[in-house]
Amino acid sequence: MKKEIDKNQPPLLEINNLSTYFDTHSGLVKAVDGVGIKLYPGECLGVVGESGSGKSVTFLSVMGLIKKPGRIASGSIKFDGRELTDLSPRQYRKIRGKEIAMTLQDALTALNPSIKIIDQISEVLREHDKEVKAQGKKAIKNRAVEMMKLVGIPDAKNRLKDYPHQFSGGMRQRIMIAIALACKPKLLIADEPTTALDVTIQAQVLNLIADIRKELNMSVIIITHNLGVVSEYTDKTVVMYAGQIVEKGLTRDVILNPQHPYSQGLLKSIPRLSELDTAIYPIPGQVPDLVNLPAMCRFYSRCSKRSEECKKGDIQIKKLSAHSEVRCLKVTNELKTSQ
Amino acid sequence: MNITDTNSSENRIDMIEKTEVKTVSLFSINMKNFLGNRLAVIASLIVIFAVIVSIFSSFFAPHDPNKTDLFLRLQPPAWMDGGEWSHPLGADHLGRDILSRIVYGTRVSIIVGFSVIFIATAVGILTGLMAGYLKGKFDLVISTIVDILLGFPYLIFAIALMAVMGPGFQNIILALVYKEWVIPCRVVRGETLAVKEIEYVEAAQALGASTFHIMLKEILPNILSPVIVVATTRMATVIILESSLSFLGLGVQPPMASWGNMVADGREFMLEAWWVSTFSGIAILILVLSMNIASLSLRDAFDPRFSES
Amino acid sequence: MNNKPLLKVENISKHFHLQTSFIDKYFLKKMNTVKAVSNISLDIKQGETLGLIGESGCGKSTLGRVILRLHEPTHGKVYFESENITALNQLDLKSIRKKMQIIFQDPYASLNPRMTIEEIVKLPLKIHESLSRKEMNQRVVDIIEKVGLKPQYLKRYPHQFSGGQRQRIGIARALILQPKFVVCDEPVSALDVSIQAQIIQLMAQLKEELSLTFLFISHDISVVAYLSDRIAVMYLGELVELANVGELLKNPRHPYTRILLDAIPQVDQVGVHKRVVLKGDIPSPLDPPKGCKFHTRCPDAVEKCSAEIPESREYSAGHWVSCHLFHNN
Repeated sequence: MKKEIDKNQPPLLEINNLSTYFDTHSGLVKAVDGVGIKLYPGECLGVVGESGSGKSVTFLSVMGLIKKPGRIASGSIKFDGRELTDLSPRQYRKIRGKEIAMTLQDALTALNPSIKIIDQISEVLREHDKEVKAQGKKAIKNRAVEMMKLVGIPDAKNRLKDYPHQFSGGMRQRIMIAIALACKPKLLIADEPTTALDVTIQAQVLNLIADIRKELNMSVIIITHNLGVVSEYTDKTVVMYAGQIVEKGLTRDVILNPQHPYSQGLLKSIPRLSELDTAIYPIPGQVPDLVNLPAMCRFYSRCSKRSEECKKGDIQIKKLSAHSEVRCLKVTNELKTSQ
Repeated sequence: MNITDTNSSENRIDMIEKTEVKTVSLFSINMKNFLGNRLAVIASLIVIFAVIVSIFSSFFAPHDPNKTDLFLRLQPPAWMDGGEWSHPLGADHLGRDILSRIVYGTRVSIIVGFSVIFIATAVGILTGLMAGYLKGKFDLVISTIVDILLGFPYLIFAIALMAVMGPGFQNIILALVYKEWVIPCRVVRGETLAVKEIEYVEAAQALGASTFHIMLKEILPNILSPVIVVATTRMATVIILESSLSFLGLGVQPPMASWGNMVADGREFMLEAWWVSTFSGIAILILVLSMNIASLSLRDAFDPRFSES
Repeated sequence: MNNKPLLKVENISKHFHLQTSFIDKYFLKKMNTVKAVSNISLDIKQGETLGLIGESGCGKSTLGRVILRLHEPTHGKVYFESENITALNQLDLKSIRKKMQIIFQDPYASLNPRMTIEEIVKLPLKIHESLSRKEMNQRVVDIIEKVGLKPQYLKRYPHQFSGGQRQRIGIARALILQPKFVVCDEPVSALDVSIQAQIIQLMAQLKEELSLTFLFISHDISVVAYLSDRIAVMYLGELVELANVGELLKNPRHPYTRILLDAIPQVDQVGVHKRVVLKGDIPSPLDPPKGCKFHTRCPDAVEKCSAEIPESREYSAGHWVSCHLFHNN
């Protein structure tokens, strides 16, 4: 049940050529290098990648949460028409939590362990929702209960005064979602929302996000390494590797007909319940060291389809069709010859 | 079960080629932190200098520390009226050269400091490991003793012991060890309790490793850092305690020079000849301060929270 | 033909007693006990891979450790090669340990940071065999190469390796003694997806080469299904279903198994598929529900379920279910 995306509207989030670098002891780490994404209102985007892919750093940059030794080296991030990289910390605080909200993977460390849940939710409300704040303490409390109920926390009223450690992992993830949604943001970024959770709880959390998305017509970005989650819950997918986007397109296309050797490799390497007799083919090697990367294809050392040409310089991402783009010489060359 | 890939062996050799390994050592990063702190380095050099002085005392002392000379009684330091450069810091009430006595006194402080810490830490590690890893009766007995000993104020306890054992160099070391061992013991016990839950200890158990091996080869090497830091920090305290005991007359006995008893000697002459007490007091101050700075900086340098990832 | 199973677990239970206040203990006669594993019986045949799946608190990791006597069972017996190993003293147990090993989940915690790789992998040899130094070094080099690492890295320390490499080292350590039975406790869960695939394939190959028998514990059902011959499903310390992989996936009988399998997001499914979503959380193991532990969340529960614990019955050949809805009458 995917929503019809209204392409006539301008994109809600437009990231253009974003680069976030870290100046570390051992050298320059290009954690995010030239990333471009367009997200329309109501869309759900899946961002797939493993360690070192830059998937989390990209969206921490969007949230303005990059601290030393990291910095946004270049590029633009436009949200609802506004350029975020120009904002002062104060202006950013107004947007963060209210218009764009982010949940993190480890709810236990993301929530303050010494502050009661009611206070953590109230803080967000007081900061961003002037109406509710004006109505006083009771109104804030009622809103908080409403949020907890919305995310499915049983006995919400009585549990408001509890601390994060008194809840299970799944509950904490849902509380984080409740805090994120308290001010009805236009965009929810969920970083690995299911990784630390049991399968049945994962299903609850994902369904919750899907339901709320429908209700509020919210845009959602799900950052994950789980291709099953991406497949079922997202409209579009972006695959990242070593700081760059290597493939993007409609989820249907990326999952069923991947173009980039990395995407293909990933899909061939996961065991599938429906095809247990099919052998899995692991991608050999490992992610390259991100410090001082040479100017060439970053997937080269692990690619079964490589050629000498791939070593000659940075590979550019090219459009393959209306919705897809790939960063691979072999694919783009094949396309040229077939045209 | 599934038929695995036929090019598996090629794949595996492929992987051997591609599994590269990084080479930065944790220790070197920590040492860099430590050496970057100039104060810490100066403090450490002072401590090292004190050790050298205590070993080569005869080289550093211009005179025999116990040689009395009534003509030199209460002679002031060289830069004051009546002083001579042959006795740069003056002489005490028996005409003994203060500088030489301070040099030999360094020996007492350093030896007592190091021996007490060394013995106490060794005992503490053994008891702490047993209490933390073996638990049960071992823990009950050891922890009870530790709790009781901790209840006694240090100095009073030491005084009482000295009163029973009698004064003297060796007895000071023993008296201080009797209480000092509980401090490393507690640290080791706490660290052991934490480390023994970590999987590599479980792995050793699963392999059938002996308790001995697990305590000494799996657990101990991983808890040494905090133990060393505690040991170096405590050394300063031990030196002050020795000085205090000597000051009270319970420690090193005359004519042997200890900074503590030198301060005591000079007490009655404070108004006329302040130098008899003061310089040894300053020596205590400098050594203890340097040890504190060096050990705390060491702790900070090795604390993972303070190093940039 | 030897029909006896390599490993037989008989009515194993493991209870952990937590700190209980004086008043609770002596006056209310109430102990804080976590029944991590309750009355589990199963067999593992020579050469098979038995998968063990379940969610948090189901006791699967605890069961794995009890089988190796890393935790002592509260009740029950474990037979290895027909010998009752639960009754053995520490000395005799040591020689059994040669044949039963474990691979851990966390590649960062399972290797002693102060030992070189060589020392870590050599340790099992030092404990159990008296070989010359040359022989030991050769054995170490052999196993290191078998797991896909280069021998020149033997003098390095764990922190210098990546997660996947460390897991290979852990595997080398577990296999150097050529054990018969290996408990794999979530061996790939802490790794990146592409590295998981490498390790899964490595384990499948080694299993063939060294004729190993695995107990493969994981919460990732696709991985377990890929490597296993049979699968056991646990919930809150109890065994709810046991069957061949194909049979379990095609024909799950226990309501929990059905919901669990259904909850897995599938790559082939582009687009959400309607599924029964369990409400609420897994109950606390300190205060589990009476009767069938799943009845509080079971969509098909009947009255009997809250009163009586269901027994394990054979639904069809080799397919066992513990559920009141499936008693063969």
